[in-house]
Amino acid sequence: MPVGLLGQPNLDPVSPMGRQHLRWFVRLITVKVLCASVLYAAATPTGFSVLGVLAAACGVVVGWRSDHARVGLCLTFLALLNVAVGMWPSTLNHSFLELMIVATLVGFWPQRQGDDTVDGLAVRVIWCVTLSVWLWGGVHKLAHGYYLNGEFFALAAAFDHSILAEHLRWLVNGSRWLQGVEPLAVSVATPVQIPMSMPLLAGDWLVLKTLARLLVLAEVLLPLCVLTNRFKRAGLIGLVGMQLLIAIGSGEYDFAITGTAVLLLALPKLARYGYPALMVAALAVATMGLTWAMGGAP
Amino acid sequence: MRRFLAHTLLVLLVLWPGVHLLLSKQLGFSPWRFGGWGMYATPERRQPFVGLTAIVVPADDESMADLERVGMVAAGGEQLTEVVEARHGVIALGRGFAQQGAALEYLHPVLLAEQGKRLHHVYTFADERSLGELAGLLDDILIGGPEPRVWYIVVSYRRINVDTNETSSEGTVYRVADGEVMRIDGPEPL
Repeated sequence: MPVGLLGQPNLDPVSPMGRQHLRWFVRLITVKVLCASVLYAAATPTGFSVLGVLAAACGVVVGWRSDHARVGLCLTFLALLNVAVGMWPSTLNHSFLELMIVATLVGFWPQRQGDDTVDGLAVRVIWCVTLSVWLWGGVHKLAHGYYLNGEFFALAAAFDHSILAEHLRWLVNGSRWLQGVEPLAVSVATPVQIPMSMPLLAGDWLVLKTLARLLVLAEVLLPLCVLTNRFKRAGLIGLVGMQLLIAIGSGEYDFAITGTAVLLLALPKLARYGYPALMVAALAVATMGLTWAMGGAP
Repeated sequence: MRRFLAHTLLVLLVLWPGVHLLLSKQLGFSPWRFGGWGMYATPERRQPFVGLTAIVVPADDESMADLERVGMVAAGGEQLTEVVEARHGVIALGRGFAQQGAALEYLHPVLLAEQGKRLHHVYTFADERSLGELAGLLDDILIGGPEPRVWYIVVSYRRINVDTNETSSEGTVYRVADGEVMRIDGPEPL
């Protein structure tokens, strides 16, 4: 079975359609960085964070047209660097990924005005590193065991208020309903309250542990499938589906948007509608985040 | 030159998470940080983090033994499973599937305290600003509480440095008898 070592995406960056998709990809990334900069400035209002918002906004405006995309990407890179450095050492991992994506695009975007033919190697670097995020994410979970053994899901189901916790409780209670067992009585602790004992039943553990292991298996196997010619399409659709499931199930939209945007580089038929849809999703998520940061309802 | 740099960057970025995995296992790097892509593989620890636990126990040997066990659980961080199981032979979360429902009960100091029955109260707080509320709660217990009238109060702070992933605990022990509070010198239970 032939394996493309650099993970060939289906996108031909020289073709008109490839160029159009890359332009949308660049627009999406610059808008995402603007959203991240605004949220960071709302949480940490300093002169630098405001400058970062300005740089990111200029990056979107200038980068929207392919003629000046390189300048826009440079501004976006500076804005993203500002967020990443400002949050150090707690810089989010997807900020590193986005820094790599923007830096690669800056490095390979043609300098001649009017030329938007990006070297295919740039696309392959972005593609391959992003696939490695899922693969290594799965390997880390295998190695550390906390997620693999269902502890992460169990604790969330037992004690959290998060979106993920709510959905896990639906799952557990669905399983309990099938078994004819009383639904979960949840005890959520605030900083000054003590959580009460809330043992999970064997069936609950089985459900949560199975879900965790299926996700780890998907994270490890799907990127490997994408690297093969025979299972590439199945792997791609599986990864998009997994990202959607994780985003809806846990509210982890940030990486889901970036990850799906990279996957769409290999799915030209979906990309036409996918990028505008992701753009709307990014703006909606940022609006919700900003509302929450300003003290409104989440 | 540009292509060489791109290939070099690619190799480094694809291999770095593997190195990060080894560092996180050997040196305690957080899988959540520094581009290792190991989010959710361990419990997340945020910076700055100060955890405050106050434990109120009657002054007897059995209670002090349980106090040490609680201290281990509270300070164990992500190594909780292995440490608690190895040191105390209790089934901790992650290894507890054979025990089914029992697993969660060993995770939290409060739950452990309830299990042992001898630790009278355990309070966990998000930060040191909650000390005032702790004082009010302790008043209720110590003034209106049942026998015995001699208690130990252990206040422990947990600090986590996400740069190095080091967890440190500092404990202060107080002896309370007949309404008087005295700080104890010498070895501390935590």
